[in-house]
Amino acid sequence: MARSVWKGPYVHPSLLKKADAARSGGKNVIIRTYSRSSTILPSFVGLTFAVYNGQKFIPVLVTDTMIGHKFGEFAPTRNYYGHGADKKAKK
Amino acid sequence: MNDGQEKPAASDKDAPTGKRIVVAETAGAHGVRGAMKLRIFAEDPALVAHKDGVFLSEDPTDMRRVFLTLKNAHKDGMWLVSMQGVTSPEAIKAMGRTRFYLDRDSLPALQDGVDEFYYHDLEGLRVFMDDNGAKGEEIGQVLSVRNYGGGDLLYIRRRNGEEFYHVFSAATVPVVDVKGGFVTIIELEIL
Repeated sequence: MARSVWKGPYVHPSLLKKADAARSGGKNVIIRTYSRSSTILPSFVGLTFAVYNGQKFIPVLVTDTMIGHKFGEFAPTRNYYGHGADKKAKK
Repeated sequence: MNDGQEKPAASDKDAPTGKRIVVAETAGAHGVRGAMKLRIFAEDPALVAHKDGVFLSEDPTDMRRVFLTLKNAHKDGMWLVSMQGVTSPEAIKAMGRTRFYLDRDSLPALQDGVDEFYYHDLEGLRVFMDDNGAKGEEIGQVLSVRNYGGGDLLYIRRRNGEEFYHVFSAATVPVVDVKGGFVTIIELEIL
């Protein structure tokens, strides 16, 4: 069953505090979190989170297309590495 | 055939490497006319139908090659292809699980002036801390490049054996020197 609309999206309170601190600090920081079920809010865009996958923290650079998704979606707990034949990384 | 288009100029990022990379592997026969199911690892499936063919070995001295033709997309992200000279499903089955390779230098040239790199060019580079734009202390080596949907990540092994992910962006990886074999990184403060 879907979450009730009146509650709003779930975000762990500590994550909101850390995001506020990161934005007000103005520095390039990474926010560590174990809260994989927290929803990505519009105010998180541009921040970098390190989401725990049970073993390691996976950095997630939040973009506007991620809004509404959960952090856990970007830190898989099971890995298939595959082959990146002609995959390109862009800075 | 000259189609009148100029080939993009190769940059330093495309210096000859002599490496071969795996582009596809067989996933079985399809139908009775010798079509093959192929699992393609490239973003551009047309790479497996390279005009010079694809190699059967990762060893750069082994020149055995085959010519593949793409037919159409199949389920589960696979493609149906035909191989020159093969017309029966038995011949495909006899090949077992075969991988096909392409020379790194056959890949399309990367654009100059754009900070874009092939994943396998970044693998194995030495990692240094950034020291105000210069190379600082060496901390380890890039094991691989991964992307789980949250941007490209360098997977780095420190000299003490610890492994970690590092965001691949202009702010966190200021220098990438593929020719020189190193990258410099800026570690972010953890909140």
